[in-house]
Amino acid sequence: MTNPDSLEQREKAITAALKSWHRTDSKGLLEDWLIVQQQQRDDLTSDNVDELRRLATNRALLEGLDEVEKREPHLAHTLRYRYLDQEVEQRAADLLNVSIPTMYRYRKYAVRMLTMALIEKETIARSRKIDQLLLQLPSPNYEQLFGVSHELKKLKAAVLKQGAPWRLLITGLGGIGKTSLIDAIVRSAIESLRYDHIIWIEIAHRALTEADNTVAGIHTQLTTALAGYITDGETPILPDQQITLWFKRNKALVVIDNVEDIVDATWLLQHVWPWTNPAKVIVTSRACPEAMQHVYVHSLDEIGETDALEFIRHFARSNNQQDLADATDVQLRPIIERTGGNPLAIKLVVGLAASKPLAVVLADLPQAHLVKTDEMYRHIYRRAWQSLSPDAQTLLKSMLLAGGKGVDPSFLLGATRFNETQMWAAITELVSRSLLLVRGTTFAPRYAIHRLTESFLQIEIVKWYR
Amino acid sequence: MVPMIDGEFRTIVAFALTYWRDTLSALDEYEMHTFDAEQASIKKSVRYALHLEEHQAAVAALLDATFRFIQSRGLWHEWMQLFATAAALPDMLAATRSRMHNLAGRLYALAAEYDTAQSHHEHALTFAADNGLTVRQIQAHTQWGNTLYLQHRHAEAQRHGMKALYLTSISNVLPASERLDIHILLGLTATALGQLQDAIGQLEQAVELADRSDQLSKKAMALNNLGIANQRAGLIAHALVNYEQALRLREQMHNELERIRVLLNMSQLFGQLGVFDKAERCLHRANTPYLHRSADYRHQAMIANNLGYILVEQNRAPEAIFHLERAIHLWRHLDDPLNLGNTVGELGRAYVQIEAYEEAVDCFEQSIALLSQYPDNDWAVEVSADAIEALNQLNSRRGSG
Repeated sequence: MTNPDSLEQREKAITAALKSWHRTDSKGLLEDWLIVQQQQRDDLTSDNVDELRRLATNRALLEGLDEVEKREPHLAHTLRYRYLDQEVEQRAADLLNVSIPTMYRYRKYAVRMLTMALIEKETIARSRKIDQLLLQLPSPNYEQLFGVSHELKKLKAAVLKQGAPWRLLITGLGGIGKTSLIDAIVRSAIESLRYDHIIWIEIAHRALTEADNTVAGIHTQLTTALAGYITDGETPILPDQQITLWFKRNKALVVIDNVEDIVDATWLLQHVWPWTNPAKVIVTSRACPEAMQHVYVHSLDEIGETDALEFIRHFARSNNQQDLADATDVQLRPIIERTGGNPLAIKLVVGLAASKPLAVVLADLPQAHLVKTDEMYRHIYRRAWQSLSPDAQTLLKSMLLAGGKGVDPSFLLGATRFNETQMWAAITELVSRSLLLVRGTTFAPRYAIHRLTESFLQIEIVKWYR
Repeated sequence: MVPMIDGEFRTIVAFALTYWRDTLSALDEYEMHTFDAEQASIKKSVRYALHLEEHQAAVAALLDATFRFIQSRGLWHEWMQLFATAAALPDMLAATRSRMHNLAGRLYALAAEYDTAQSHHEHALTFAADNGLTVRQIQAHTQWGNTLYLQHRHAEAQRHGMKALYLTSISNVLPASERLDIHILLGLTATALGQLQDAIGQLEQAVELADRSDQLSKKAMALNNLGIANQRAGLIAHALVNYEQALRLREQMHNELERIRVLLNMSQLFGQLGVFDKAERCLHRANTPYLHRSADYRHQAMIANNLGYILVEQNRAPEAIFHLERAIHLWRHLDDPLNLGNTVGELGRAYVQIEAYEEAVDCFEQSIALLSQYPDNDWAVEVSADAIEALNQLNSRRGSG
């Protein structure tokens, strides 16, 4: 039921389905209704697709008829006698103890009531399915996207399209907003119910052991994550062949986020090819492999000046830095020059301006076009680190031990040896400075850090050299 | 000069090792799934700690606490190398090193990397024996036996189990859980070797020990295996009780795949008894949407095959054919000629019932050809003999017709 048809159109479709109750071909199926698709999935699988679809359509109709029967039994009987039991008109009217014209009138009401009952079921099923799919995503780290409306439209179309492209690669510098962009696209794909499954895999940071610095390490992460999803974690790592078979039977959208290395990205894009169609796979990576056939590549650039200004003001407002939000374009433009329009860098600089005058912060930062991105980040992170309170510094160090799903406050309380007041103050400080990502839910928050923050802490702060 | 690793960070890692060990130790068998959310953070702590020599003992303790989660959540591929790295740390105590080798061996075996697993078991045993560590020797023999059992090397597996059992008479401090593992291993190997009285005895002891040590998951495993042994020994009532108890425990623990395994065993038992409606009900209970969403094709195939068999037994050939064809499709996908041969033979019987003799002959011939690949397998020989007999009957009928 992808198109919001009128009630009359739906009634027509349902009448056609009732008329086709005993058929074995593909006529009169309610294939695009989610309640029918779900009936089919719960069925014992058969190789006869039409038979399965008919069974699924009939089951959904039966459930609707049961609902009608609870409220108006005689109306439900009108449909059952005619379409399910295939009684001739006169016999059906006799069974109902009414004249043929009255029976026709009943039938009309009955179809309307059945349609309403099925629409109600469909609405509930769709809303449940959307909630269930949204749970597969990590919490978003943005309130609103800036400067990517064109990209959003283009990529959304590619992801929602029924055919190719099956593999998409989104590349761009660290902190440019690849994850946020994909998150927004996936959320809109969920709302459209284009896919039955959403699988979000975050590839772990370049690991601390040699073994994981190989394609084999990525392969293990990938297959384990898929096995966890496909079998609810009950089955160990799955062979590639079984994963491929699962993908052939399911409409899935897979996101493999944060692939750092060019070798890994190239290998991944080749490796996922057998999984595609009907599934689509999106890979985000800082690295852009050489042109690969049949891969839709989109390179994400820094945001333009107008969007960057709007972004700075929005972020300053939500960070309670009203003076910055009210600043003129001329006053804000140097932030863009120093950060090159990189969203994470902008957030970090705006965060710095919470503790020091903007002019002082800017005077200390090199022009973005004069230094490499890594150098720019190192510089910004150093200044951010120096401006933190000692408690916030300690808490940030402990975040090096947080995995992709983050850690909960009880871990941080122990790791820092703070009391609760100290800990929440440090968390608030770090969140406002964009150095801490909030995951989990309002009732059970968890905390994580961006990969660039992690790299900075590892190298510059704890001096972790392997 | 390499800069010193930050002292405060070292302290934080030390805290994390203790925190995760205590957190995991406090989780019971109903809460195993909560490990999934924390796994990446725990792994990070382990990885950092493996490089900090002052944390060697603590990281081994955390790995030990993590093991039961890794095993039950099927995460061996992700963790086995960390155990191997821990086992190779230079200043580890012999007892800890033996333990790490032993656990690494188990994980490599579950990942079907048997050579590496064997090597770890050998090291585990050597460190234990050289240092007079009886409990560690017992553990090494038990896990080595389990690895050999996975390789279908049942007699060798049994020998390791017997050695472990012998050593328990020397050790006074062996925890009940270790003793339980030995009895399960001995029960499994004895069942596989046809020593059914012995198998029943071992598995009954395992159940009793699991009860005493309050290990529900292992109790369910022991009960399910005891059911198989009892069933093979013809003690049907006992087997049924075992399965029902195992099923109740598995349902309490929300372990869907284990529940399906028990239901499959129960259906076989009812089928053997000729109580086909009950067998069919068990199979329908096992044939859940959960199973179909999973990639556990082996169990899907087994259920379809058994449903087909039960339906043929009840002269319901058209329904049986539907399930048998599905099983055949799955066995082909799984590249399992032995089971495929059995199911194709069953399909032949279904065709005989609907008098589709040409199709039946074709099925029996295929079945015989597939099963001829397994001349040393008793079950294959038995199934093949049935197919040959059915084929001969059909041929003689056609000859006389």
